[in-house]
Amino acid sequence: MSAEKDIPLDIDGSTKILPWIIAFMVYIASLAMAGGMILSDVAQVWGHGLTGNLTIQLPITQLETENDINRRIKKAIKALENMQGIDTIEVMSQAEIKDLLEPWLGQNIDPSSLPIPRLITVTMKSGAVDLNELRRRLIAVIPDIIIDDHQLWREQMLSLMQALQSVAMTIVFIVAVAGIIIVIFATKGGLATHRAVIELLHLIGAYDHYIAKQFQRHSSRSAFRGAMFGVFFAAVTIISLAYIANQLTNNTLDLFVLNIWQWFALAAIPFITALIAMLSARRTVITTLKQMI
Amino acid sequence: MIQFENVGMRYGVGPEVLRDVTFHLKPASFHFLTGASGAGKSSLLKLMYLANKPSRGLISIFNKDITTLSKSEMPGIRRRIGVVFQDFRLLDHLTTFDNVALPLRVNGTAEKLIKKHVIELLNWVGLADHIDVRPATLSGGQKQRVAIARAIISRPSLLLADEPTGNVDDKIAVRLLYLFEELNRMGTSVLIATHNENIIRRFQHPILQLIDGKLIKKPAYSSSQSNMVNQ
Repeated sequence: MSAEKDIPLDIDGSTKILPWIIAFMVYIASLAMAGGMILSDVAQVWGHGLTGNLTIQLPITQLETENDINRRIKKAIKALENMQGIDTIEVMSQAEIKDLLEPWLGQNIDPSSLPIPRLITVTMKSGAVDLNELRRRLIAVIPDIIIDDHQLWREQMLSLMQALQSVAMTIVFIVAVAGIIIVIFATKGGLATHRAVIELLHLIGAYDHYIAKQFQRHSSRSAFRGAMFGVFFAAVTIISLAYIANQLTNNTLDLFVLNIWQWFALAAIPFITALIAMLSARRTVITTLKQMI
Repeated sequence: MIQFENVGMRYGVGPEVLRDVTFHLKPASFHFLTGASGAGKSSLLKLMYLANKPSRGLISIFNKDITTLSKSEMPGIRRRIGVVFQDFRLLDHLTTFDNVALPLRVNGTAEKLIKKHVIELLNWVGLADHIDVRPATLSGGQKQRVAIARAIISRPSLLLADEPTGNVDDKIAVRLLYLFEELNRMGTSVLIATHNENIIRRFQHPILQLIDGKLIKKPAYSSSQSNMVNQ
């Protein structure tokens, strides 16, 4: 038998439950962390998608003929073509506009009978377009033109994502603090339960760190075992949710699958948990034993 | 080696259980500590194995003043003291082997050496057949011998034994005392707290007698006194 079994922590009822509590807490923390990482990805992907795009609206009046409208569109396209950094310019067809409106106005609509602005979608080469210059040039040729670079929407969406990420990280933090408190109480319980053994070890010449080492090992092993369970079930939950989400959205939500580095981050949780448990147990034992003769 | 000067000790705010205790133990000495129950024998031993601190007076162990000793210095001194507790204090979850090996493990001895020394010592105390059993299955006398083996495994400079013959018959008690004398001949100072008058007379070592917390030094019984009792 090795020296680490001098104190019978393994057969101690009060510490047997520790891995299960840790497992549950790590499960919650892992889901929160995965949620935070997914939100970060979503924010990045959506942000990227919108950053390189402009939507230009040409308001029309019922007095305008189709020729008038086309002439104005051509003016706008010409102004855009003269700008540096423009990648593609696409005038949305009446059919595409109809498709866009269909969910709100139904199938039997004729876009030409409604005062719906004509839309031009523009994609830009990354960072190459001076938006103020573009705005100035377009307004010079078509004063009532509306240029939407999605800035407001993007900012609001990013704020929401950041708020949700903060909530996720707060949950991880609270769970970590609660975990530390649980380890401290379990260690204190162990110290009280095994006081006689600890006294004996002291009397035969054991240093505090010899005793602390046994609690450290026990706590880190229990925490590691529990955290492995927690991370495993969190991974199963994430994959299941990703599967369900993909089924519901016809496999369009690939975002819900974590990338390899994010899976590594989740896999690191048991090691970090074990380290935190070890340090918490050590500190608790050393502090408590200082008060013993 | 051990020096007590006007030592007093009390538990909490209770009365003094030891009063003005003064004595000196030389290296490789052998003493009996006697006294009625409650006279303070266990308290005196507790002071010697650093389980308690005195309320007053000066205690020097291995030339270190234990009243000013820091916590980090205590294990070093405790490792030089072997203690046979009255209630044995064996760890129930450990085997005989692991109980005896405990002091060696605490001081970081290699497992190979631990195995060699523990088996050798268990042979010596007659427990070679009980290496892998746990204390719950041992008799009182066997537990006593495991406790003694644990106390002497690391060749202490000082051996303190609290009623080591309390749970054994006279034949085994005598054998244990021979064992302590053998250790003493190898240089270990021995102090045995006992009620056993036969043992004290037979082994003829100086006596420290506690009466109501005060210590009286008495010489060893002479051969003629011992023979009178033995007859």
